[in-house]
Amino acid sequence: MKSDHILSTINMIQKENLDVRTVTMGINLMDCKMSTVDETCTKIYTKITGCAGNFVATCNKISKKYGIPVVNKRISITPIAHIGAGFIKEDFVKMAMTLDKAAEEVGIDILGGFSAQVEKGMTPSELEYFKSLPLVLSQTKRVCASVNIGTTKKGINMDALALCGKTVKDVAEATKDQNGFGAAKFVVFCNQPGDNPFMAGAIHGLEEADTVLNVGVSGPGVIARALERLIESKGKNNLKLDEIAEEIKQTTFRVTRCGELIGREVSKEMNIEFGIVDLSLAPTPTVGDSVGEIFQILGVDDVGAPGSTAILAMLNDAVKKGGIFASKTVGGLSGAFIPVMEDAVLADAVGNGSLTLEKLEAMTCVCSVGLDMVAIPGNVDADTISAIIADEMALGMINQKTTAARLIPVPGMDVGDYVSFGGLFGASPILPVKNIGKSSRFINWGGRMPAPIHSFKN
Amino acid sequence: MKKQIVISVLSKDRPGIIADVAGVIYELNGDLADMSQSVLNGFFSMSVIAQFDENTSVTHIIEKIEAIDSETALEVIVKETGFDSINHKKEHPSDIYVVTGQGKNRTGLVAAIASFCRSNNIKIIDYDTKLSNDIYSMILEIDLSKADSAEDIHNKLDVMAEDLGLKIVMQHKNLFETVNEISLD
Repeated sequence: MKSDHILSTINMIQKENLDVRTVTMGINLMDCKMSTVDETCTKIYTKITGCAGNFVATCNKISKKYGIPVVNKRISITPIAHIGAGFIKEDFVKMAMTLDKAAEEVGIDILGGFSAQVEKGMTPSELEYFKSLPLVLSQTKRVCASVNIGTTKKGINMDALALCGKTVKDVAEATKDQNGFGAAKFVVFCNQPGDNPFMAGAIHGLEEADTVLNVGVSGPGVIARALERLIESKGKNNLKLDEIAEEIKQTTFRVTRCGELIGREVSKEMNIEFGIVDLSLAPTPTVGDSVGEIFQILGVDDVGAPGSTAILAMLNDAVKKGGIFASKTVGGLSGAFIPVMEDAVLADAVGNGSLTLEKLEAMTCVCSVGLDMVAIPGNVDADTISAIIADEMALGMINQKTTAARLIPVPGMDVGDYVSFGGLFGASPILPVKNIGKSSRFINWGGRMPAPIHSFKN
Repeated sequence: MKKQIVISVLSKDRPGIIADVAGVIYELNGDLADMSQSVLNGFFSMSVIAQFDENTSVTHIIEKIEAIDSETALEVIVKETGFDSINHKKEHPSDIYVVTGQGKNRTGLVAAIASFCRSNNIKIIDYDTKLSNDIYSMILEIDLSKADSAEDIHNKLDVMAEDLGLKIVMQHKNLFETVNEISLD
């Protein structure tokens, strides 16, 4: 082995914030469904604590062996609405409390999959599920919720969409003493993957095995430093964009390999199936761990300036290319995330007016997720929020990609204010929303937006 | 019957040393089986394992190498290994770790690390050092198969790092292979 390779690998970890962002254990709960909610809760608690009892300790052991931080250890479950068929709102709250307790017992900070898949229609139980969300997200600490309301194959469920705007508002209001933090634990998806390890949108899809281990790698800081070194060594006048894309690709390969290694080892040690590596560039509020910084290195002075969408398109693609070759099975979201509050450079761009909601939406056409962790004024009405989500869902449906919306209408705050949730959830100025209150007639139609023509491939 | 001989050569570096030594081995009907060479700060060193006919003497090999017409002095050591064949099967113990240490240069660092390894029953497989801008970097490959648990060694290394004023990290070797090589076992 070359000593240069060893030292550069060490630098990636020690100086450039390379880490395995999350190891997420997916657990199927379908066999926990009993005739009463109390029996169901007992089964859920037993299954989670049984499957994941030594999960955190195993991750810590493997992390120490390789000297790579595994930042988060998390659990995703079968979308809870499947388990709660026939249950009422209060039952869903009981199940959420059980999940919270089980998560605490096994030592994990977040559990995802308090979810429903309603892209075509809703059952009465799923309506009860929606009603439970404000209580669930205000009274639990660790439970995250997500709903899939559209797919390229089925179109968009506009009734569920209307409920989503209202739910976002109600959840934010129910957690107003924490500046609406509950809404940061609720994501609305189009084409939600069943193997995404990243929160808050992780679920354990019905198509998955009983237990599966998925890994999310990160490393925007590693990419940023690699690009800086390349530009310094070659000189900015001697470098073309295709060479930069190649550097991103090769660096992503190395980053993804770390996730692959940790995932394989943990799954071997726990004797559960290794699912996928999600090779996403997920920023954190830490300085030097920003996706926004990569935009600046690649040539726009502020994120949101013309050229930002093109840069993101190239970045997202190069990340996928490098990562796919590095891993046996790639899945989840895999690309570049642009969660505003979790990325200090993006948050600054909101503050100085460079990054607007409209530009952010355009950028989500080419990133791997969507309007993520966007703090908006608390007075934006539910229909306007639903309409913002509708636009985001339409992008996913037509482009056959995952899109998501995680909007936080911060109660009592307006443009010019600054909200902070702390830790990995980050902080940002409130993003202005234009044209508030002009979309209600559209949202009130309800029904379904038909699937696009290119979905009919049978 | 063949016998196995190790030949070690030291010299100031110049083009053609390997060609000269390999030429002698060929001339003596030797079969060169394994070789390792490196150049440190302009000084060449090489070790060769070769198999010779039973009647080829160690003295004869030394004479032939010393007779090479060379503008640099070649210092030669030749010994019989006592084995009669090359073991081509490389060992792949699962407890190979890479230890890297970085910090300000001072005397006694290598001695301290080597002594630590000896007292903890750790075999050093490879040791590479670099000095750049008075920052000393060392990279060791170590075999922990006969040592205490990796966790125990981790803790002891932390203590030593503090004593020596170095930043020392120990990571399993798989990491570096995984990140820098294409295939993944």
